[in-house]
Amino acid sequence: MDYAILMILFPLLGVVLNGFFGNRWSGKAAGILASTMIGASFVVAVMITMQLIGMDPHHRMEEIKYFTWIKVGGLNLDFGFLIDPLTTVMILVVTGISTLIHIYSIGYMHGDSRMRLFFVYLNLFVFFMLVLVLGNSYPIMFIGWEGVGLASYLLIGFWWEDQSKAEAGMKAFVVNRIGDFGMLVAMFLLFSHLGTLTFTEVFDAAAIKWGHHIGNATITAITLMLLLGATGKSAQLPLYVWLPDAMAGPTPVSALIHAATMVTAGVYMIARSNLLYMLAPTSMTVVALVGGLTAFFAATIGLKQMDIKKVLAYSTVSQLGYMVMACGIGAFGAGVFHLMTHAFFKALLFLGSGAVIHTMHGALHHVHDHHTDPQDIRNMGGLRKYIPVTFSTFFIATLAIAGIPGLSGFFSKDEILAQSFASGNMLAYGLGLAAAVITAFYMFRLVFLTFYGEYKGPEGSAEGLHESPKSMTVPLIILAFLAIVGGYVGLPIVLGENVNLFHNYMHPVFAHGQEVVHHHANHLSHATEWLLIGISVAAALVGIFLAWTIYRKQGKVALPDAAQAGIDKVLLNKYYVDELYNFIVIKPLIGICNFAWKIFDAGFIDGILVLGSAKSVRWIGGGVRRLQTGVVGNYAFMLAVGILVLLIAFLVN
Amino acid sequence: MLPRDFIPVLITFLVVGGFAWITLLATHLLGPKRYSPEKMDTYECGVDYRDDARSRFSIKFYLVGVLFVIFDLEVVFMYPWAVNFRELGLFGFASMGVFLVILTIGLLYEWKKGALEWE
Amino acid sequence: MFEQLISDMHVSRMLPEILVLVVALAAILVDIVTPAGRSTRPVQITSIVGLLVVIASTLFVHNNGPAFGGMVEIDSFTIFFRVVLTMLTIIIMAVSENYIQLVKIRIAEYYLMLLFALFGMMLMTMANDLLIVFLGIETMSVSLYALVGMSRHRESSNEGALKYFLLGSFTTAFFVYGIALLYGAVGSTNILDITVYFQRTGMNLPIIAWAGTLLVLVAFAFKTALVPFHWWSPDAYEGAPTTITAFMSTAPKAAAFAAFLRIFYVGFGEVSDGWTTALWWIAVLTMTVGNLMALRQDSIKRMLAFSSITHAGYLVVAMLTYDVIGGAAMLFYLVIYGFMNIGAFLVAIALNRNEDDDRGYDINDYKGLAFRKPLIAFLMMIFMLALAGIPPTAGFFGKYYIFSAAVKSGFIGLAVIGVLNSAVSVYYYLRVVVTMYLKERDEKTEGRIFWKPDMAFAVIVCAVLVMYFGIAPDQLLKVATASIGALW
Repeated sequence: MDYAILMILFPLLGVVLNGFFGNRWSGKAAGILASTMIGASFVVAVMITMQLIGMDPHHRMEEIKYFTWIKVGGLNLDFGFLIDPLTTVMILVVTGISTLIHIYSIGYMHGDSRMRLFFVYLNLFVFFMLVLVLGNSYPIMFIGWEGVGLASYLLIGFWWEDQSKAEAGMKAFVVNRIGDFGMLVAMFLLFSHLGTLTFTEVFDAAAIKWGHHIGNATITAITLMLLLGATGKSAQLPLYVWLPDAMAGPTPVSALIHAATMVTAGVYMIARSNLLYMLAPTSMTVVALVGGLTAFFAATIGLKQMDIKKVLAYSTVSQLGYMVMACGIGAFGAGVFHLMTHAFFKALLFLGSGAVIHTMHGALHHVHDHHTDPQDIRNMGGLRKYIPVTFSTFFIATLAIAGIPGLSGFFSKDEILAQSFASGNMLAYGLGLAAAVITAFYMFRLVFLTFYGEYKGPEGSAEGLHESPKSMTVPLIILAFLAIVGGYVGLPIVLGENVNLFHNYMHPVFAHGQEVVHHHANHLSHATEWLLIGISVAAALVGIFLAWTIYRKQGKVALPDAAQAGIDKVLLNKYYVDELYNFIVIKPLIGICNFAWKIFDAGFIDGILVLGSAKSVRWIGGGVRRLQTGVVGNYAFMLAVGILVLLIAFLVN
Repeated sequence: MLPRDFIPVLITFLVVGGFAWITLLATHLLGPKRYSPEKMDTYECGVDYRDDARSRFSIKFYLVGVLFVIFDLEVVFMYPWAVNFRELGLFGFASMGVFLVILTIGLLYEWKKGALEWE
Repeated sequence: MFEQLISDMHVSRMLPEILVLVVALAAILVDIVTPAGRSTRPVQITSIVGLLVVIASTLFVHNNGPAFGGMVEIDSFTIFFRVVLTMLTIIIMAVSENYIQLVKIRIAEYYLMLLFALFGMMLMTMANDLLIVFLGIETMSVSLYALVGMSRHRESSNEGALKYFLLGSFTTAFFVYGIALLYGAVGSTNILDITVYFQRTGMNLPIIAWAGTLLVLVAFAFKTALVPFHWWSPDAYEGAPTTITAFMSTAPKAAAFAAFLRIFYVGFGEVSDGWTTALWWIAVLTMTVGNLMALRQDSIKRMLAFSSITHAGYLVVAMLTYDVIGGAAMLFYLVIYGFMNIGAFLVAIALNRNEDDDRGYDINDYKGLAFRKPLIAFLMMIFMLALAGIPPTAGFFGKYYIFSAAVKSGFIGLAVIGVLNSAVSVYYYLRVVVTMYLKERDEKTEGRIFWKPDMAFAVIVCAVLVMYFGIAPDQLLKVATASIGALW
């Protein structure tokens, strides 16, 4: 499987070609090139997966070492890949969805003056994302982790002429640094206690060291620090605040990075470290709680958002909460399963919203209106007549996320809920179920306000409403197909012992951890399972029914921001969390910084240390330079003096 | 050897010295005497024997000098080699062959570059 | 009576060196048959192809041991430098043709001199006898004197060549005098005999042996441009055609350090306490003075020339450790320094506005280069980061190995001074990066860019190697460790 390296080389080649020579061809050509590269990576990913599936189920793991990377002191790190079922799921999702979104972007970014740069960044992102999921050790994963953060920063602030967009990029970057701090501390702890950072070695060593001391303080600290990293990247409480702002980036970016792939890195990392988490039950509880609360909390904010992308952003935070919660209750496989199905339908939702925005843009442009917000759902309505393809695919995705049986979202969400019930963590189950109702509600609210009812855009702009180009609709259709069938690889256990193919495929990844702690999956009786499925479906239907009643039957229209009051206002303002952070963290920090800047930095450091030393160095430099007179006689003389001095020094010795 | 045996040597000395002395004397007495500054010069070679050290002279002298040294040394190498030709055998022969090939290429080079032409 | 002598010659062990000479002769013949005034491309191609054969013969023909009756030693150390020096020469030759057309040098002697210099350098790296070192140094130096003065119509080129020649001959005199003194004390110029002699005497040497050691040290310090014997280098570096500056600051320096290492580790190792003190001060001075001089340069060429003095200082730090770790660090640094410095110089050539103009290498020409020529700017950034010793470039590991070796050997003060100096050097290296990436484009300073395919290829090769050894330094370090091991 050595050719796995090709997977990361293709995107890198795309970066190099477009980045350095791209000004020789058009933006569209750059897009096609970039898409081809990712497509090639996808092909490699499929080949790798096929090869792995062809292997004996118990030995479906291959570690490829390419070269010795760092050999310093006790640290001996190879640059290598770890390929197991978990990796293959991740690489298929990453390269597959990336390919579709690259193609979509060719249409979406058409006419942008920096289109080439956009594809450079996008390819760079895919490169780092693949390093993240393929790496065989924590440091390599961390390189990818930082790299995707960089690419995300560059892409959120892609239209940096707009101050708020540049600031959104900054916010994402800064908030993620807090999480990275946790990652680094976790790595230091792992290295100092186990002496290695390669996944396989870490897990073996941890199982030996802590296998009989489950709940040891060190492993708990390590896993909590890892969780801090995950809350940053996967936008969990309390570090989720950057993700909604990240919607400032171009919509394909939101779909790819901030919905389908990068934000799932935290979930991937927890699933990868499952053995460590199994050794720390306290951390597991914290993980489950963080995930459950995030799922519920973000869903409630989603209820009242008016910006089509903001709704989807909070929905993403909420769904990520599900995945993290699944990991927290020990259902790692269910978490990864939801990660996959979510990638399909959420990418579809974002691309669909992008198509809607694209359409609205065209309509507004038609009447030369540059004030109306093309993303505000209060300006939409009735769009289903104008853009049928976008509507039908968007609707499929909505059904999937709401958890309607037969679509992918149902299978994965139901598995998480059933597992959390089985684990006995009723708080998690309760939060998950409540979030499911709310999710169904706000998603259908979004659909009703956007696609049904009367068009509420400016006068005459309706004539400008057109379906998006083929390069955008084709990826939508492919994703819609995946959003429907993607769940059938993981049918509920109740339909038969071996129908959950996904679960069986992933099992070896998590088996080791379960053996170490003698964990046995809790089995539910068939009756209970059917009951839980019924409850899930009912929850979804209740949410949809409520949305229908309010926004279709009563025809309620969302009010302007100023007219909101009470709990609505609190929700609209996202519980004032940004304001709270601003008040308790940022303001005092700025105060301290100002003090430090004026007194310490400007006065002492700059004035005395930096400028002082720089000045003296420069001054001496000027003096030394003057010795270089250019007169060869002087040189010979000074050379002779040098020899003489040395000779005398020698003799004195 | 007795001192008597050296008598032929002494005779040779006398004959040589006498010849030189007689020749010089004869030219001095018989030859016409027309003095000129060049003739009164110490070496009578056209170059001032006392002059400013910083004067210029053609770079071509330097070139000729270098070329002379190279081919002069060639002969210096060849003498001891020729004396020991048999003992050195094939190895010695090949070595000298290589040496001469290199020198020949050098000669071709200087020829091609025009180093052998005065103007 | 000659059989024994002849069998001790082992001429075949010097196959690569002989091949270099054959290549040189072939190049001369090619030059002879080329009509006057034509391009020197055939000579260039002959030379490069020939040197590739030299590398192949080095890598694939294994025949180690002493040759010429023990006057030279072919071991893994020699082979390491053979390959490195030949590679550097090939890179320089590959980019030279277009460049020498540009600066109107247009004579085949340019390549011939490079070949002869290479031969001299190879001789230096294998020399086991002070006289062979002398022979190698002179062969190399005479070629370099000529190369520095190749831009005959440019005054600074002639000036640099003459100064280099005068000071060089001055030092040669000291060197020969040193050899003579050592011969007087030891009765041999072979370093193995010298070692035996020092083993007998220990640190209790007669003055003439001390003076001889010192004068040999001075000669090497001169050739590697260590302070206070560096005076020739700024003028020679500035005067030389820039390809030659790039060459001189890397390959001959590496060769001189190789001979320096062999003579002092093997020959004078027994009295290392004596020369390390002197080298300690030389290292401190070299690092600091080079930095201070580079600090205020506005010309990229001068900045790189001065900073190459500093880098020689780092190398001396590694050499001072007198053990395998330090020696390996030194070889590692010599290699990566060769690639990053040549790369930086080549980018400077690409950007230079006018070779004859004093301000042809002004840093202001780099304003906003990242927006004008992203690839060139990116490559230059790699080289600057590498020279400044910032990861993930090879420069980082190079410095890391050197300073950690120094600390391990107890030269903590020296390591601190070295690290401080590299911190200072970050200023002028990053200044270039800042100018390229953060300054607005200035139409006034934008000149033509001399970016030919051969140049692009060479620069990219350098950049890839610099990055490769930065990401995977291990293999090169292993090779370096094995090579330096030959000296023990």
